[in-house]
Amino acid sequence: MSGHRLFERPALRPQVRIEAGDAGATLRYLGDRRWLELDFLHGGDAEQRFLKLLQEGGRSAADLAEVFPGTADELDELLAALDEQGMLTESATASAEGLSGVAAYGRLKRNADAVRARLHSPFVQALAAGEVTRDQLIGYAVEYWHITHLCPRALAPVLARDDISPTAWAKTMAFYQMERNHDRLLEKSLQAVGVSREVLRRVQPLPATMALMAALGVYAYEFPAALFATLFPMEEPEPEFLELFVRRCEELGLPGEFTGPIVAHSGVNEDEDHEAVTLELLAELPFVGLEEVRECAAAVTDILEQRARLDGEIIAWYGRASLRDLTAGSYPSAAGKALTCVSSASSA
Amino acid sequence: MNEQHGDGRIVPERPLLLAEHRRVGDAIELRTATETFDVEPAEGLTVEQLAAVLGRLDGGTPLTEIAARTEVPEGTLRDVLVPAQVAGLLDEGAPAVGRHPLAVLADVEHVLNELMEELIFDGPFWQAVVRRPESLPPSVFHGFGLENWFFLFHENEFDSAILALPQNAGLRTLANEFYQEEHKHDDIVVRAFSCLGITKDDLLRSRPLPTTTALIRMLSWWARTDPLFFMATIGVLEGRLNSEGDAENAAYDSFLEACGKADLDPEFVEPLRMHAKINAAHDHGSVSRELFSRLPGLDAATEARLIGKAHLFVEAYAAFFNGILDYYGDPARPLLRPAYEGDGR
Ligand SMILES: [Fe+2]
Ligand SMILES: [Fe+2]
Ligand SMILES: [Fe+2]
Repeated sequence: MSGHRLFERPALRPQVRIEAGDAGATLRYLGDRRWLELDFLHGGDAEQRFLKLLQEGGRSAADLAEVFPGTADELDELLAALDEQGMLTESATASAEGLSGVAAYGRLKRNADAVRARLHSPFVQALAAGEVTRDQLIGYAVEYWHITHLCPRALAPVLARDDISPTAWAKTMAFYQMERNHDRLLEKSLQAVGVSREVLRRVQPLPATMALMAALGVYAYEFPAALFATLFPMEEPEPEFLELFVRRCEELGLPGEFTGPIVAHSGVNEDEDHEAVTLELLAELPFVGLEEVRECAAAVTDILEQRARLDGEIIAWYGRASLRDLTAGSYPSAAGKALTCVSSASSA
Repeated sequence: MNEQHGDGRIVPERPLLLAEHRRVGDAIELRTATETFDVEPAEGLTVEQLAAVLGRLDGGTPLTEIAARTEVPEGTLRDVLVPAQVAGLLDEGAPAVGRHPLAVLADVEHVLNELMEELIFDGPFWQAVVRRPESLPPSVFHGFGLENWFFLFHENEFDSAILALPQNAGLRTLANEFYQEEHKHDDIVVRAFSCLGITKDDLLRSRPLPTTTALIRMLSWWARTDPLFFMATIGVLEGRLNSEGDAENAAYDSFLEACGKADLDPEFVEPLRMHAKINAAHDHGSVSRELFSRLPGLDAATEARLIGKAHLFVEAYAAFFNGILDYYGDPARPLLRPAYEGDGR
């Protein structure tokens, strides 16, 4: 067993009792269940001094070797024997560097702002230029429906986690319940342009939509901090976008029943302050390792880039084809090619 | 969720303002490299007070002190800072405190050590195996082998759940190495049963004791819902702890020794011994420690959670052993319990 070598500053557990005599000492732990006998081969004083320092803790094995009456190998053997009896503990207090969840949020938010500053959305550009078609507007709503429809599935796995704080769990549950029926809002929109719920259940999302929701879902399974971190880039209100969107819908004569629920859903996000959910959840983590914060930052950046790609995919696909009911009829390969060649330059 | 903001834990303890600020009329202008915000003092606050607050966001002054110096109640102060925090304009000057992961694990190990002695080695199974192996029917030893095989056969169910660990590359590497080293260990142990006329196919048609499935399922659940805790149990499962005061007498070895005293067929014992040797050679008893040594610091709530669950884990582990004596202690019972009972075919 070499587990004792992993201790930075090995020390005797406070529960270990030392019974020293003239010729040696007996170390006892857990009553009489664990014990180790040491012979004093160097007179006793040196051994007792060493045991006292080992009890005090705060010294590395190398430091201990300097006061140990014997060779470094003998010390290693002694530490191994003590550890075999469960008598050693770690007395180092400093740990690898980390941040509080509150501080981590600040970093993630500033990271997101920097990423967003270099990204542009082909969909917003086309809206501003007045080039978006009716099919593309409906396509946007369909993808938005996929997001809201997949949302509970993506969030649910985190509710099984038993290593997030009770407050974080309760907030996640509340968030889940809030998001649970948001697909109904989008269904109302799409109904107004003749896309029924039955059709929606058959259509496939665009790859970037699926990638976004898969990312959230996988984080919910095995990386709760990244799920918390990626909620705000999903939920940030976009008032400028919404204004352009509504104006274009009006220009193309789409009914108010179509735009209404989309505007309403965005309003729900704003009213309920969904953006702050990330902060509130991360604030539940008193200590996050730097590597974990970095992985969260990468996850946030990826979400933002996927969103930019999604906007490109909406233009590419719904500019050439319509609803993605891929179970029937022939596949529109031209649209598929355009879709799979969307430039990531917008997310370079 | 707005009302939750009031608890104020979402702002830094020693805030550092990452923006320039200057007074413009009855408001304050905050300016970063890319953005400008106009901030009006909240109700009950003067623009002078707001400026004084902003002037003290130096990353060194605690909120309580800022509150005292500016005569702004701490609750109000926290509320005032929330929008700046949400916008990413604040950094934390106070260091985050996490306890050394091995210090936390050592405290968990203490609980495990103590309960292993009290519930497991003082329990009926180990007492019988260590104190009076000659008096036990061979079926108890065979049952131990069989239930261990079930455990090993299902080990991938829990070990696999920590292979992806996205937040820590070092941990991930270790977990994968451990997984590879454990792979097919059930096939080593299965050889022990050929002298009993039991084949792998027979095993596949049978099922473990409920005390065994309880342990397996709990570990699988923890590996999925609290991987850190699962990682803390591996050292015990891989036989780090001893039943007696001397290092030669590790738990698994106590069993092999008892097999000798009870005069069991070496064809049954040797495959079990081989598996014990492989575990020792891979130093699997140190796996929890190795995994934890790769972690960043751990907070107090995490430690409390691990300590609490450690008790539950040892209870399940003790029941696993005692369940073996309870069932296989009666030699009249069949060694294998069929997956189907009655006329289920
Ligand atoms: Fe929503
Ligand atoms: Fe094994
Ligand atoms: Fe092993």
